[in-house]
Amino acid sequence: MDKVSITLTVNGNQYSLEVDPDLRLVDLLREELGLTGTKEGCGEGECGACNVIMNGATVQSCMVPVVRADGSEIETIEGVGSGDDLHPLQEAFIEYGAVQCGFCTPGMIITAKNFLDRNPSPTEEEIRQAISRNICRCTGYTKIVEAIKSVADKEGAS
Amino acid sequence: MHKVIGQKVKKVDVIDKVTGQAKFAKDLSWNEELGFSRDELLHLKVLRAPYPHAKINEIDTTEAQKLEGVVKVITAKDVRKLGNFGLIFKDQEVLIREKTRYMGDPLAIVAAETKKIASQALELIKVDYEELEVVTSPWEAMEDGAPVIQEDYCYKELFASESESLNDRLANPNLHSSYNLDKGDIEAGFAEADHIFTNEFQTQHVEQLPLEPEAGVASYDEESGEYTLWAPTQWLHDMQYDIAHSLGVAPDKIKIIQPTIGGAFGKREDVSVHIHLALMAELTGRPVRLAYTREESMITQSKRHPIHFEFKTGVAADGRLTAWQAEVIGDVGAYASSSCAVVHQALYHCTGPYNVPHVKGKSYAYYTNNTYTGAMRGFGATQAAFAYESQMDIIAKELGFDPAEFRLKNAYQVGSTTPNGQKLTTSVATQDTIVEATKNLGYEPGTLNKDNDEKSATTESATKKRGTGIGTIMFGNGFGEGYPDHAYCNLKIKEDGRVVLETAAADVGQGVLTVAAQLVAEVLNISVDRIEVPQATTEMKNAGSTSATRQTIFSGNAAKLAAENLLGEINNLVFLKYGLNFPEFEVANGEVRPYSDQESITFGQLAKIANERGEELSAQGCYFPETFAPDEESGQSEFNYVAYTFNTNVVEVEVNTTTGEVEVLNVQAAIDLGKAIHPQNVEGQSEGGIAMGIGMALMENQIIEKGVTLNPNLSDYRVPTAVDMPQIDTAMVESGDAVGPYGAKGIGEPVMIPSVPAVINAIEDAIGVRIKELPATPEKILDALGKKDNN
Repeated sequence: MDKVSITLTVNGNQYSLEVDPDLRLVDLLREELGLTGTKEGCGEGECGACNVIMNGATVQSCMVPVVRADGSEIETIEGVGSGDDLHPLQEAFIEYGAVQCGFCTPGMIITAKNFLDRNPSPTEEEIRQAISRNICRCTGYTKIVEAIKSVADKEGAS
Repeated sequence: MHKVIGQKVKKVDVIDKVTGQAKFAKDLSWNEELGFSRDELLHLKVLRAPYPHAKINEIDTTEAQKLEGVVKVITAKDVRKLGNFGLIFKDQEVLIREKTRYMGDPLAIVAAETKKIASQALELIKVDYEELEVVTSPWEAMEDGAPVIQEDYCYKELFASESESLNDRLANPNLHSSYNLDKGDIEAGFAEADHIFTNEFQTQHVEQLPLEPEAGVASYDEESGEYTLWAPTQWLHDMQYDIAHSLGVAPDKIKIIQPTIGGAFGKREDVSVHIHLALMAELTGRPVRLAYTREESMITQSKRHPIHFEFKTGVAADGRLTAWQAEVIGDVGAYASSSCAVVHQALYHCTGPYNVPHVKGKSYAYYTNNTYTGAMRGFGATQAAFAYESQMDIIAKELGFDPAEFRLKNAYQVGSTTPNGQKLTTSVATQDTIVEATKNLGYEPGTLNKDNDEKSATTESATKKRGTGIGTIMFGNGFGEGYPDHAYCNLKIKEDGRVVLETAAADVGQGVLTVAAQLVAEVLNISVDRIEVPQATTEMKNAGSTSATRQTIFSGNAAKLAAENLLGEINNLVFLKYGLNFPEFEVANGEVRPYSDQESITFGQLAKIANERGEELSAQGCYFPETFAPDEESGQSEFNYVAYTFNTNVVEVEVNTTTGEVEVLNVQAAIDLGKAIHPQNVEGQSEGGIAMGIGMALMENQIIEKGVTLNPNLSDYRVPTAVDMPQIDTAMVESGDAVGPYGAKGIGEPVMIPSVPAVINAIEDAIGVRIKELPATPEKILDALGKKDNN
């Protein structure tokens, strides 16, 4: 199979790659670019572990063929914050005990970040709806929702 | 007043998890620290059974081997004889030699330059097979003339000759094991009863569904003959042993390094990628990677046992339980795994935490051609609790007792004896959990009135009915039963003053590493930030399994003891330097501060002194409690489990009688846990456990028909999401008198158990239908409502 040329920006860095056209975006990020923060939990777009922000929308990267990502701007968990400079959501997840095994966490934070950027003052019900396609098997979601709400409340108040 | 214990501290691994830096197994092939480059890595794929029960005549791999990019294809015939593996019985083959017993059985392994080529190669492998009759349930398995699933199975290892259990097995070729319980005098118990209740209950195949599918990386060093694996497991040393035994090498040739682990819930107790990885690393001479798809994981790896219960319970007129008889039948699936333990653990928990002087029971575990069943959170006690808490509720309603009062009347206290005949001498706060949880939901025991007009007035409409239900459960901590059960922990102080905590305990997300760090921090009077916790490896000493709700007690006690021993080493060095003895100085914040004139000295400086003497500033702790094996004929044991945890969940639901859908509105949990080392973590576990319980009660069902899994994916296997979750509050009943560190006992499994029957009991309270076969889907509820209306 002939390779295709893909150019895309990930976390502000531009990449030009020659890849198999049947590659998925999650494979490009993890296998080609070494950005393993984005996880694969099901490969069928059902669990949200692979969520990234693509051109401003939260997408399941396991369901995006690479050709569709050509020319796009992608934000992954690696772009959200780092050890010395955590995003308020990351700090809240720590503070509220919203992390157990951590496998759903990158996808969950990506979903929450994009949601809050667009909905700065959500109700609890709206938060639950927003993350309803991110599966977590460990936490029961209670503290995840509390963490997201705390960031919304803080930013709403400022 | 403790400084660190009982506090919310930042979990030791949390920063890497929120930034995406934490490395799970499949992330590791990018890590150059592993000692090989990405380009050297080969990708593996496994060919699985074409049919659940089939004789394999031939596997033709010639076409697959020719495909460009394929490096190696093997079947059982192409390699030396490999030892079988299995958690308790080694009845599982690394590669199938003669016949398949379930759809996950491995026939061939492909190693190729890319994942894509490996998948293509699988398609080119031709299998000539002959279908055999499929055994779909224990009832088919026990029929005369049923096809035998495990012909070579040597049962005699398990039971003494002349025993009833051995005779059971010899009469039933598909019976894996049977166990007995005989406490008191069951006939006398029934004679004493004024009422007798007989009911049957059935649970389903449940999938643990940790969010991280199975994956791993392995390499082999030809010169040393050593295999290195990076693949998650709940028990490093047991997995090491199984791999070594299969490959025919000494255990110290196998090194396993734990990656970050994406949940487990029992699914990572059994071998998955491990032996295949080690074998192919050896045969190809290159590092290899294997990652299961979710579908492969759901078909191939263990499930929760479907268990059938028949309970016959005798009750006196005043509500005292007098007798409890149980027949317990479990579906083992194709291989033993931990079945003999799971199904008899269900039997040993069969009465729930209630005083019953006369108990008689028998458990049977049958092989079938379904996916093999193994450990899942609660390990048989979960299924038993659904059954006994349903039974208790049925009895309470029939006799006109309030469900909470009926439980309080019969609940364990100090001095009660368990079905195994173990007398509980400490840490039994069952009644407190019932009082606390009911109070927190807002009613007093004795006031729950099912015909309350006031309650109807609060329901949203004529079609939505609300109900309240209780689940009170017990769970024995640790393997018990006289099995070897212990843990080690090592501590070392480095010259930079940091404390290295070495524990082989697997942290699967439950937070054992943080708990261990807190315990060490408390004893040494330091901040948790000063502690480093390296990734666990088999080169550390055995901490036992992360299962059986044992790590807080076992690794916790080992960590606490290690810290106390380390203090001893510190004290000794201070004596050598200053001639001072404890308590002539304070140990705080990584420093020793003499009360006299001498200068403070830091941990780092003390470590330097030790190192200059050619020593380490280090210490070890270990915990080796003894339990006693239950008698084979009676199941009685003086001391079967080191502790029991008790948990009550009181649940409010709303049932939509038009659609059959159940919304869980509120869960109040009260856990008798001795001491909450990390209360926020306890809440998190309770909330996650309740989610899993709601899943099992209402929606989860791994449907396997004629040996074929019909829903091996997340669109058809539903688990709770954020919109399915109720308000949850978790109260902690801390009597501080359990055997764990600072009086703690475990919670990992108990937290998921009571919500299952509580939801079912609440549905009955709401609409007067009792679901006895899980899950309580909308279809089942509507069907039951229809039948009720017709009566």
